[in-house]
Amino acid sequence: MIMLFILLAKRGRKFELRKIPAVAAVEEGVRRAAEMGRPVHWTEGHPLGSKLYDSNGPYLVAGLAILNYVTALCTRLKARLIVNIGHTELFPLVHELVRNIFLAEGASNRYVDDDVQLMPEQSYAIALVGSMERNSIGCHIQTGYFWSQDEVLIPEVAQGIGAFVVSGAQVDAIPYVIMYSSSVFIADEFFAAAAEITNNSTDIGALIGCEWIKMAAMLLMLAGSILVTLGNNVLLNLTKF
Amino acid sequence: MSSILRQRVPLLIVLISGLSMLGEFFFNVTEVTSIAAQLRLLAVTVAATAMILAAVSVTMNNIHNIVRRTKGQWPYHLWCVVLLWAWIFLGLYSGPTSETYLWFFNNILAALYSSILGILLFSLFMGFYRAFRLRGTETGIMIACAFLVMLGSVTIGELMWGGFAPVSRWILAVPNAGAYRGLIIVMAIGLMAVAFKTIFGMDLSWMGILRSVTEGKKEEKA
Repeated sequence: MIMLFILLAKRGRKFELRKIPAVAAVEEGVRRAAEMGRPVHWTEGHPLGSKLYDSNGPYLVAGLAILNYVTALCTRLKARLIVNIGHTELFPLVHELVRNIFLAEGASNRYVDDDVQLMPEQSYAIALVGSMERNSIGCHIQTGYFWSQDEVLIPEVAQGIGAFVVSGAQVDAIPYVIMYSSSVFIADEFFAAAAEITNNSTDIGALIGCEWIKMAAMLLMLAGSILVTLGNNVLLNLTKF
Repeated sequence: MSSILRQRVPLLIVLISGLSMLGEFFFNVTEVTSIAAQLRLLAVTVAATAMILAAVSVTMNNIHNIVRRTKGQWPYHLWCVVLLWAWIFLGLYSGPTSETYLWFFNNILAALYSSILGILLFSLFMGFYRAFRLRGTETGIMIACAFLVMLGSVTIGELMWGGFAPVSRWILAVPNAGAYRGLIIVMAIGLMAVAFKTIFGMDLSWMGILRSVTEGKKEEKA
């Protein structure tokens, strides 16, 4: 289904996309920080909560797509970007990602190697909070997979400094990040953000494919509920297959 | 050559790894299972080796601050470097299971970690205070639900009215569980799409390649 819609989009079929408020909030936050002359901060969550090579890896990959956008915005708006990461396996990747975007945007003279830092695993949250306070950040963006201490402590400290907070996280972190953030990528908005940011046919096609899978899932659930109520377990048995 | 090393090789590695994992999940072929197991082991080894990067990165950053004599901070940076390397050498010299190493770990690191978790309580209170201010219909519904769930979970609620507990259970089991499952399903579909795009090299943003952004601009112009 995803492949089919990617092909349709690539062949020029136009699809309407709903605007995601958190994408606009990212730009608002970066603009605000640039005007205040304060840095923008990005992080991806505690390294013990997820790994790039486990089932939570796609959260980190989706988070990197947003970092891509944040870095491009920072170079255009001349805001300083501080990237603090906890995953050792992500460090070389993030370093390269940020440097590539600074080069691509013609801002290599403003690229500071020290602004991309690897935080110690055990003291990730507290080291991060210290860095945020010392640098007096104006905007905090966290997109990835978050644990209890990251989803509560880090955005709370950012709010205390007076930073604009934008979060994107897994489902169980959403109730917490909503309390502490100015704007949140709710559920699959986190993955759909790439399509709105890039306006690229592959991302749009994949997004529309996902929407159709969701529709099919909803219809299956509805049909399953009706059939089970009527005493027919055909669909239920099919899922056990 | 540079583009091959920087783009093609990583994409090929991702494609082979992704297809091996998918193959292992869907087909019971011994060769594929063995390749997937080896790749998983390799990933853990690469991540463990990258810990050296962490030590070097932390040291370099702190040394910069020590050399610059950052006002009011450099002694802490110095202390951080001393502790980091003392810890590493202690581990290398006496082994990570030695009594001395474990004493430091249990009495310093574990205690500090517990203190960090203790701070969370205050952060939670601040968050609740912000979230539970009546600003409109939506926050009103949330406050009412939270009030009912809280009263249903404490003894005083049951003393006030016996219906709080069933109402609380219903809120948790029906609207809350329904919304939560819906979110989990859409997140799983989104995860699937991201994995698909990454494995087949359709999304290069994780490599810092702005191909998608530039393509998007071209498409917009067209």
